[in-house]
Amino acid sequence: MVLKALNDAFIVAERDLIELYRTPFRLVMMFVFPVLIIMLFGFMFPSTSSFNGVHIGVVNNDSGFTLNGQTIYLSNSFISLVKYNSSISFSNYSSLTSAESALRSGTIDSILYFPKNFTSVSLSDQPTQLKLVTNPTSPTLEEYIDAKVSAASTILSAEIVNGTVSKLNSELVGLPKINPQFIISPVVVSSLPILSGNYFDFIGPGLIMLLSMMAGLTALGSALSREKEDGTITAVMLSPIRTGSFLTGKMLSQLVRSLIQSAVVVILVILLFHMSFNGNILLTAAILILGIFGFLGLGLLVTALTKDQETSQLLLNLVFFPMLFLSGVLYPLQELPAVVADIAKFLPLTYGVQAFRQVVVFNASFASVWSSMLILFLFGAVSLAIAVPVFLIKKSSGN
Amino acid sequence: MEYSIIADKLTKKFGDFTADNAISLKVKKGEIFGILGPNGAGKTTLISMLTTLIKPTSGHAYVLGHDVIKDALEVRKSIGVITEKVTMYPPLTAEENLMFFGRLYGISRKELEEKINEGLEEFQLSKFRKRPVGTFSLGMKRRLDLVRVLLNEPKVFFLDEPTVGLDPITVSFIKKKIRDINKRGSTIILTTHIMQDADELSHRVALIDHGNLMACDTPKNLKKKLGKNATLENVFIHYAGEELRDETEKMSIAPRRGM
Ligand SMILES: Nc1ncnc2c1ncn2[C@@H]1O[C@H](COP(=O)(O)OP(=O)(O)OP(=O)(O)O)[C@@H](O)[C@H]1O
Ligand SMILES: [Mg+2]
Repeated sequence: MVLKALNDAFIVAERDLIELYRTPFRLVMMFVFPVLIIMLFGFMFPSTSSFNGVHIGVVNNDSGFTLNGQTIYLSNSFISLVKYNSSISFSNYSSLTSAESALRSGTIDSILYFPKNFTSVSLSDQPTQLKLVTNPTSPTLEEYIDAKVSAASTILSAEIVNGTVSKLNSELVGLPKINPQFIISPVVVSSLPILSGNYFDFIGPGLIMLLSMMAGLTALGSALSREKEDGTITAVMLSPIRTGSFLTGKMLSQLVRSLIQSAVVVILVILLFHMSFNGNILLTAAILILGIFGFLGLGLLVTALTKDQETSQLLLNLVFFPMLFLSGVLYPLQELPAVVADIAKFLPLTYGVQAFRQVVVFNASFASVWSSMLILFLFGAVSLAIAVPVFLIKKSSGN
Repeated sequence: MEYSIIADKLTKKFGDFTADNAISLKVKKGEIFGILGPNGAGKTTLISMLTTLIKPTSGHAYVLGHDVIKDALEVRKSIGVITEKVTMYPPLTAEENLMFFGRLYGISRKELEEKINEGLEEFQLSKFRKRPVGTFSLGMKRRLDLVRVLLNEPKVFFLDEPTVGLDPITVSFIKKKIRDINKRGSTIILTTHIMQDADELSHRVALIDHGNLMACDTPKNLKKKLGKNATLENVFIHYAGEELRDETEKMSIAPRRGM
């Protein structure tokens, strides 16, 4: 009895996979679509080192400093330092107002303004100043330029301090020498990445988990509506198979399908975008399976309660988009406002993404992700426990 | 057991709408039983209840002694159903489709292969066995549907408009097969809008209109009630629709064409 029910589920799953194999277009799209999505998001939210075509306007009033008939301009050294190791380009403006209108019109991304006494002050005992006018409407770009300019200013400051201190040291006879580094920055922070990684290590696992969720959400819906359209569900229901076996078979084939999809996508993302993969394969697969399982019930419920596929698609989007933006797929939860972060705690995908990322990137053990896995499992079990009876009632009443 | 099917006050409501209203009938073993009625009369709904696809709102029904509600799985094992819509997976080949459905009946692969070969041969589909069903013509699909339905050697067949949309050659081929299947001892429940087919094939017919069973008898007896030259079409018009019934009663039954 149980054996027959299980066997029937396998027969249904096997047939689904044969069908997938017989429809090459669907098969190819299964891999192309996710990779496309990851590429899209990867380039839309790039890591900071990959800005291209950044343009800074320079208003340079620096009159320099003349020593022994030679005039030096620290402003030029500063610009070279900003240029160093970046592809930022510069153009000169005669006044701050003309540069500002260029910034407003989008011709340039920032303005560097050097006052008349920029060099002369810096060689005296006063700190010298320059202005950086930024465009706050483009925060990531603003941050990038800010970082480059700060780096240049740190190096230039160090040069100036070095000069001053060595002069000082030569005058301090009999006293301990001053270390210029101490004056520049008495506290040194060295940031040590725990592993070498990039942004794809963040969105890669997030998006793969998102794909699992989508697969779970849409699995039964699209399969059932296709069967309804072809009338095949009627023929299946007329044969001695339990509805439970039929649904189980559908879920099984979707799991297999999704696992193959995820595996191929993981490999493609590793090859194309150098995503790190350090996780235990079994644990990775287990989380993926739970990621799909967790959403099967919700998908079935939506399918059972809606008359046509268009409506159910709309409803599913209502589930999908909040999950996409609130579950830490694209950016860390820490970046969300507190209220929204609290909502995120109620979204099962949050736990899936978290666990998956920890395992894939940081090789976390079962012990550290089991609670997230349990949440996914419970969510799936409860939603299925609600969805299956609803589906059965709807079906046998003739809808 | 003398009867293949017993329906007892079988009723189906969709919301407020009554598709079938307390239909009681008995189909004898080995009978070809026609169900006639206008579009929307409730024929498909009745068959859906008898074949366990949908649950009756009230009433009972038994197929070969099995309760269609309580013993749905047992009922399904012993019936074969051809629905209005052809029911095969378009991307799969004829063979793969048959294999899939056959296995759901618990038939072993080995036995299935033999049966599939025989069936495809009998319905002249052998050379298309490796072709996706999506590329089949309607006639081929219908024939393949019959091969599928025969796999588990059902005792009771339900055929819901099996000849709709088919060319005359295929229609006569399928009619011949229906008789063959019946001669092998199976009961057949058939719906059709072609009165001549119903007349030729059925031992008895039931007439349903607006979900009500209007008449149930042999075509011969039904026609006799209306007069000497009455056709089954006259019978149909007599029972379906109030207006026409008044008319036909007044005009002492001349064969009517059309409608
Ligand atoms: N799932 C459903 N929900 C609501 N109404 C339905 C449903 N299925 C059938 N009906 C209605 O029940 C009535 C009977 O339908 P049924 O399909 O049984 O008619 P039929 O006799 O088979 O007609 P036809 O000759 O056109 O095939 C129709 O009015 C139909 O609209
Ligand atoms: Mg019908």
